[in-house]
Amino acid sequence: MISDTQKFKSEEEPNKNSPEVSQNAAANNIKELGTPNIPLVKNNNIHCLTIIGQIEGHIVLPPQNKTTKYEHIIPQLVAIEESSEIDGLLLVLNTVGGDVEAGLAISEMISTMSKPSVSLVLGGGHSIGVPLSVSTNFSFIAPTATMTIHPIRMTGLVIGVPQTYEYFNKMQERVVNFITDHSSITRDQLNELLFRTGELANDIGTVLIGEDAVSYGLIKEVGGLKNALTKLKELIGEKKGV
Amino acid sequence: MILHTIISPDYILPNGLNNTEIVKTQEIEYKGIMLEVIELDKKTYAINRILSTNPKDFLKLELQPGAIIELTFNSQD
Repeated sequence: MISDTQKFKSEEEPNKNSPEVSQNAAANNIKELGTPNIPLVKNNNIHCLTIIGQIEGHIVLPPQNKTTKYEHIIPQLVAIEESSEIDGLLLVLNTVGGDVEAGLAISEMISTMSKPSVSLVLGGGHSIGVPLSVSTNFSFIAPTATMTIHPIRMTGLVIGVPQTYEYFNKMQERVVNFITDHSSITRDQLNELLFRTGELANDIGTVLIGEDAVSYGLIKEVGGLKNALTKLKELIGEKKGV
Repeated sequence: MILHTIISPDYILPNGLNNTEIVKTQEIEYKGIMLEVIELDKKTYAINRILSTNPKDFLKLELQPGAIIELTFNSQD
């Protein structure tokens, strides 16, 4: 085991579970770290997984970035799949994108789950958020939500050789393959959106708003929380009926 | 690292990959679960990561990253 581990004991407070104390703790979490504690609903068989901000990959991002950490999400998905209390997963997305490896890893985990899953894109589901939004059994997008489809780019050392282009192409293919395998958009349509010029100020690509994403077959329906939950409950019912 | 995001890399990593601030963390055992925490003051710690191989630990609400836990040092252990 780890040698410099310090052992601590939880402080015993008789009123620790009183509403006042837990309310203070929740307020503190929001103040200090910007993480709200989700109210616990009893007898709930749906797990809500929110993916916000940047999807953090192998490099810890500086604190001005709001991030979703894959090393936390992946074991959570294992727990959801294994749990006897959870019947379905609601994936709520409001992400600006992030690391390709981490985004694809989470997408692959969700797409290979046996439990029903529904995604809801709110605000934005940009870049690597696109494979995430299509990884579930059914997908919704809010009428005002946007999705930016654009090619990947790299930070750090780039060598100006043809191999760099080849490598980039392969990495782009991974994302394109996942999206086309899990939604009804065709490869040609997706490539056309990826390389379209004149829509983004400093990049090539396309911005899809609500209905647009549905018309291209990327997302299944325009909807909100009510639609997403109704659909998820329907899918859970279907699975239980079998 | 390949980033696929609409945010400019200059905003994400203002100092590039070289000068990222290193957060000092320590490993503690809390309710039988190993955690990587950031010390806020002598008694309170913010959870940075769960170091467990039990997937169920990752669903515990009180152990979500960013949650603040209060601890007192137990010299008996």
